Amino acid sequence: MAQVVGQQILRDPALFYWILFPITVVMILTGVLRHYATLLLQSTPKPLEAKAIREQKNYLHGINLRGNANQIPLSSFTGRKNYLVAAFQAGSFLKDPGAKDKPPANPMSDPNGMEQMMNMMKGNMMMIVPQTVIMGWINAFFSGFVIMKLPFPLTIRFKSMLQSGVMTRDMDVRWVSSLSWYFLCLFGLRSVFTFILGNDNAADQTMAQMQQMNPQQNTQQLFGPGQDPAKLYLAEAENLEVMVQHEFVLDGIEDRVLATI
Amino acid sequence: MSVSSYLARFVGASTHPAPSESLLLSQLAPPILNLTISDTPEQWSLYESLLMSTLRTGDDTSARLVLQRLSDRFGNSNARIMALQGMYDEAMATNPAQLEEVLKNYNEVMKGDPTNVPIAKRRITLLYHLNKKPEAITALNTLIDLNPTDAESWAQLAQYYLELSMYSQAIYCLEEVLLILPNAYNIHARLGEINYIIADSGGAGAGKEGGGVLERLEASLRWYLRAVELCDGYLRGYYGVKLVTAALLQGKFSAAQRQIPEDKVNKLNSVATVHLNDIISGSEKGKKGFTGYDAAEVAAAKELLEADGPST
Amino acid sequence: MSRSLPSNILVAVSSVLLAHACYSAHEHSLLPATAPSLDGTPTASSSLPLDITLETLISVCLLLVGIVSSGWELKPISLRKYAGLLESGSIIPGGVDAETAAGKGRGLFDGLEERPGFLDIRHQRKEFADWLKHVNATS
Repeated sequence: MAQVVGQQILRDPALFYWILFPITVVMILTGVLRHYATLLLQSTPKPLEAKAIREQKNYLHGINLRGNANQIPLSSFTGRKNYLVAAFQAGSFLKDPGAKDKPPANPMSDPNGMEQMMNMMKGNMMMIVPQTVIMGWINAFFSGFVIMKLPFPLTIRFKSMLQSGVMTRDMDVRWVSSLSWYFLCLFGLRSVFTFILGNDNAADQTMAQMQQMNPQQNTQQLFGPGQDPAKLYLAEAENLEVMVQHEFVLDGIEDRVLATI
Repeated sequence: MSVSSYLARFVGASTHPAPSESLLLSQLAPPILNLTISDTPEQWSLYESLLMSTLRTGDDTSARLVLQRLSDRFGNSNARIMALQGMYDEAMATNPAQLEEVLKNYNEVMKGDPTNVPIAKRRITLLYHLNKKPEAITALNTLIDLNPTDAESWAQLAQYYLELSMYSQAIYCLEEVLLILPNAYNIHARLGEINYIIADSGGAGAGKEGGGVLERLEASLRWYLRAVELCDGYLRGYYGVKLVTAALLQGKFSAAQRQIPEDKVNKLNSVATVHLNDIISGSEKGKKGFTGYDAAEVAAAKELLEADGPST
Repeated sequence: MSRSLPSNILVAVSSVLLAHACYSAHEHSLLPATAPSLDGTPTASSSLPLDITLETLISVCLLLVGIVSSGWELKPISLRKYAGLLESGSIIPGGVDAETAAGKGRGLFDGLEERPGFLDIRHQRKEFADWLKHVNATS
């Protein structure tokens, strides 16, 4: 057995109780807190009105027709194509057909887009605020402490990751500073949260449940804010129009079946 | 037993079970209601299936309790709960006047929120049940105009048209289902069925000159073949192939008009026979891998083979 | 999942080999610090001996072969097969075993024919009541 060589640093065991342990606990608690705060702040998405649903679903209808055209006979396909192309070009599925030629509304003034942005901002705030606070706290109290030693050797590349806040060039990479421990916790606690808060963090789960009970009121926005449905419809009409190749799946099916069965 | 094992029982059953089966399912109500409420999605979908079973068998007290728990959890204004509540009201109505009351209720809800799809579907079903068929079909068309990507609505509309013998409309609707779910082999088989019915009724509605019947039969055969191509061991598909090929072989059609040559039809007929025989014998002996077939369907297939037996 | 005996042995042997290779590599990593070479060229200090490398590679390959060949039943990946198995009741979707689900085959797209959203509950109630009357009358 060879001699293990390496730097020996004597650490006060109190470092463990007063730094390593508190940081971990605080990180977990903030994670839980953030989770419930997000739950509280989440506003239930507003159901779409009938015209908006109609606008989206008919657009999807066109896409479906284009994608699965080969499933139906040519005559059925051309009939549907002609109807949809005419309807798409006339804009008869649009939420407000009058607005076809107007420039798209400013997303900031659109109440729907506004709400979406609000939600996004809320989520971001919930991430950023606690992080800054805790990082400030750690910087103020614990900066420069070396708190633990990893049980395995690492290459020099990990130095900047594990020893941020400690400006010692010659120290072995295995030593971890307090600030680095914070970062490790920040990125590595996901599975702990899954364990504590349930799979996919209970927030998402209840959301999925409500969604399941409410499958029709899907609020997913097919057209993002700022996108002009009229233009999308025109593009889809063009896509349908230029589709010339139609290969009906039932052509030659008898030979296929005889060959495979 | 746990929630998931109960749920498996309900998942395995269709929503149109045989009476004896629905009795068994609804007898599960007391133990399920005694389970602690764990607030998982499985539990609530179990409750939903249970509600339907208990309503089916007339276990109204359990149904009331299940519905109560569901609405306690999700609130009365949830669209799906509203539909379940409506279903309960429909089942409880004892005279036509009460049914009309339920219908009026639906109309009101729809007026307030035209996007309430579950209620819209209940309303259509009730209209059809009350024999207001044109109104039901109009309402269903409105629903489809709102959302033309809902396969269930299209399939239901096809069913209504089929019951009214409006075959080309039914075919149109089923084609729409295929545009949404291109691999739905039972829809392919259903298209084959409708084409066969048209051919059987003398090619009415085929529209084309002379060869209407032959054309329809061949179209029917092709749809059935597609169903079989998409699903190995599909009893109804093989049954259809057998049926249509027999009709094609017996009919006196000139070779020039045929698109599928007679020898291929013959081969397909024997292939279908082999597969049907496999399924029938496997299912009768209770062999592993054949136990899931519906006994009535197997019996029908056997009858078809026996009727065809002497000629082949 | 029934594994065959030869592949079990293969898995066991290759796991031992792999563990041994890891241990050797670890021991080797501790060596050079105490024995620097005289001419200053990087001898064993930087590169692993060939035998350890070979042992690692071979044991990993054997382990893979052992696991793959251990012979559990593969799930069908073609729709044709899968749908057929569902139809015949051999497998039930959702990880439920076939016994608990009363052995009934459920097609992949049966929902399209049953359409639970359009369930005519009054019709079904009547059907059931008639059946019950019939059963009671015969028994």
